[in-house]
Amino acid sequence: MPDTSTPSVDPAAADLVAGMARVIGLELPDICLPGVIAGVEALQMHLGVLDAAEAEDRR
Amino acid sequence: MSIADIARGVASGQVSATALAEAALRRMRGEGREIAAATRVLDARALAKAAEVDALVAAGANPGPLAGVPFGVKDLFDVAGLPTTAGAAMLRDAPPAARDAEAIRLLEAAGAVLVATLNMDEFAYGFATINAAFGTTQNPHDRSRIAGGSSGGSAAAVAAGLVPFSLGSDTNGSIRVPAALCGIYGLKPTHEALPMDGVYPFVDSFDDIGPFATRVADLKRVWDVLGGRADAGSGMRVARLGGWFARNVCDELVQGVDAIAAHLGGVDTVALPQVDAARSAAFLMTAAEGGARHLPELRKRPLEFDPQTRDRLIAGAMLPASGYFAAEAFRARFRRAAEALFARYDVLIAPAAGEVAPRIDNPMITVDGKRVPARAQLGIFTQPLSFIGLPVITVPLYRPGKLPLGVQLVGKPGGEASLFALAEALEAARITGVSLPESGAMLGPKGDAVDAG
Repeated sequence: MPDTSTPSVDPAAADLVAGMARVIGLELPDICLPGVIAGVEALQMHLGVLDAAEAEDRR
Repeated sequence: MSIADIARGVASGQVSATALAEAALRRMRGEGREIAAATRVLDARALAKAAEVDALVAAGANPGPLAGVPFGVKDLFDVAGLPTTAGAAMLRDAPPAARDAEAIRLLEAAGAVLVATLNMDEFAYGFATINAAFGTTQNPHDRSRIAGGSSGGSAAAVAAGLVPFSLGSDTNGSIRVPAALCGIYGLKPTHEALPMDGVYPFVDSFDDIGPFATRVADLKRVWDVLGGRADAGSGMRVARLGGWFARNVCDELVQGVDAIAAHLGGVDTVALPQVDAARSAAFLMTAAEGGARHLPELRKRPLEFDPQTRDRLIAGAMLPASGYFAAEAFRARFRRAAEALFARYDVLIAPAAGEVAPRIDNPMITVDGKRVPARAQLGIFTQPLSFIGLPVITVPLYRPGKLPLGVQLVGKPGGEASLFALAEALEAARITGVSLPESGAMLGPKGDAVDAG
């Protein structure tokens, strides 16, 4: 039998991401949670790089 | 055999376009399917077009500069009468395209013969051509390795000798990365230099189309037919990019760039500032625009997407507008920095991908000492450049018998003439050049234009 269970994720991160998804009209299926959380973390990392560059420009 | 030789052979009646099409169709049905490069083989259409070309030749008319030359297109170009899938299973039954993409129309008006649509990452979101619906495109040099993406089917089809040229699209590196990993030439032109009509979009502000080929002259011939115009001169002041572009690069690739520099009598090493932020800004804009484009379908049927694409698109759709605008503002600053560099140089040299093609069973690369997924990270050297619309030709280091490595020749907007000139010089010096894998010799170095069998 294939494993169709949802991989475990940090409940707080899952709640946050599900809430963000609802804001844009998306009911997030549980199966998407790990990938979407990873995707949001990647975006956060890139926003941090951009912030650092802007701070460098202001100096 | 070059595209010019093939077209001459057809125009002179030495070989028929129909024979060439039949051979290319056989190759696409065989190796094209085996390596998951071909998604649809267009027998009836190709044979009808080839018959038209042969009729022109028989009537003494000029069949065009691409007479009888078979080609394939990434599965995001509209082909009249077929759904445009963009590599997505959910679009297999979409309404058929009413007409061909403008690029296909131009190529066929010049006598070329479309024989297949070619595999890609779903919605062009990836650097690996690992597609849950249409399969993982295998690298013709080593079938246990990826071909790169997202135009992996287009690159693999040319590298395997199935067709002399193909078309792909490039938003963040989707022509340049697979060209490098498959060891062929690929052109990502100046933004908006080639027609995008009838091409399924991904990120409008930096989507472009371009050709793959095994010779610089072939690449240029297709560029000319597509209406490519280079208006920024053909200067040859060359520098190599250091900093970001000198890290995460394997030793053999560094040696290859050294050889190019030595051939040119030594070149300056220069740095673009804040390339890491440029890559991040490109990443953010891609995620946001891609997510916004697909949000209506993500709401309706998320489980019909390729999971690896879907989750990244959903995350992108949730990016706050402030993040998108910050990325856009940074792009303007980064473009000015590049313009300052191009006041002093015409061509900049940089790696295209830092290492050889990753294995399919472990598609990871090493960045800053960490193993990271190739699908999202193979574009670290390409994303910051297309993000500001620069033209780039990826050239393959000439290294027969070894896995391919590729180098980017980067020009100023409208600077394609400089890129073609440098690429031709490096090819003539045998510093760069294509060495086709033995399995794909049908359009190989010995020049057989049709099946030996």
